[in-house]
Amino acid sequence: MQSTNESPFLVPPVGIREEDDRVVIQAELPGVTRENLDLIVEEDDLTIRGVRPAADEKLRTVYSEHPAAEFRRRFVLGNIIDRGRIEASLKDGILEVVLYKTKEETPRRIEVS
Amino acid sequence: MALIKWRPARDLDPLDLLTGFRSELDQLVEKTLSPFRGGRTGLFEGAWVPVVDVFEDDDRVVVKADLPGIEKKDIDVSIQGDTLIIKGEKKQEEEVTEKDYHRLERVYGSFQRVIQLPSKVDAQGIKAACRDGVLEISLPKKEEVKARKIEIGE
Repeated sequence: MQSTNESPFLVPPVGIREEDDRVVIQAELPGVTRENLDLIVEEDDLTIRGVRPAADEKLRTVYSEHPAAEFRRRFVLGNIIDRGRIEASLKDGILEVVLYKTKEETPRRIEVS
Repeated sequence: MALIKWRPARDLDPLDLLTGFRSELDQLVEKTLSPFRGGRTGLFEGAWVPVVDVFEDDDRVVVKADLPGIEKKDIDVSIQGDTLIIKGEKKQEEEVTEKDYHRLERVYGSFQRVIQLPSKVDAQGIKAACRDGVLEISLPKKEEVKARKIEIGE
């Protein structure tokens, strides 16, 4: 868990892999739904922010292993990433962000006639 | 293993001695088996341990376990008395070789979590559902342990 001068947050574990034309980030955000998820690209930064909804008010907490309700993680995007073509999907608590590489970076197959 | 300070019984009351010993033993067991939150541990059978929250109200106990990306068929929930056992396997979504990864922080493999429930529950009424990567288990409390209002007579 990390905290800065803002409120504490959890850092979600990620898997980052690279393919020929893209870089794919998978982040574990259990309990987060689309309404509670923010994906922000600002200059060279990609920030993922997700909030787990609080439990039903009527329920008392016996114990909680979550020190914070917010997930946050920031990534620095290299120049090879096409800022205009970022796709994201969220399913079963897993966020997948596809960062396509710019056309210049994508290897281009040359057909041999 | 952390060292537990040995505190000899302060008086010789045998009951006191027994209670003192047991709670220290409980502490010892708790410290030894308490899983590293969300990560790997060598003491459980699994490769990793899911993060869990336990709630309750007057009628039920609610257990929520973080199991992102795990299908229902790979999760097993069972109850033994006051103990809830959640276990299963987290599989990798697709066949990807390690060399393609820049970072691989996600943990896969079998997991098991044994949870001591704060109250006696009715095994028949247990409901479990998986949503957004969280397994939520609702366990109704047994009638006899529910708080009962006692009327004060004249």
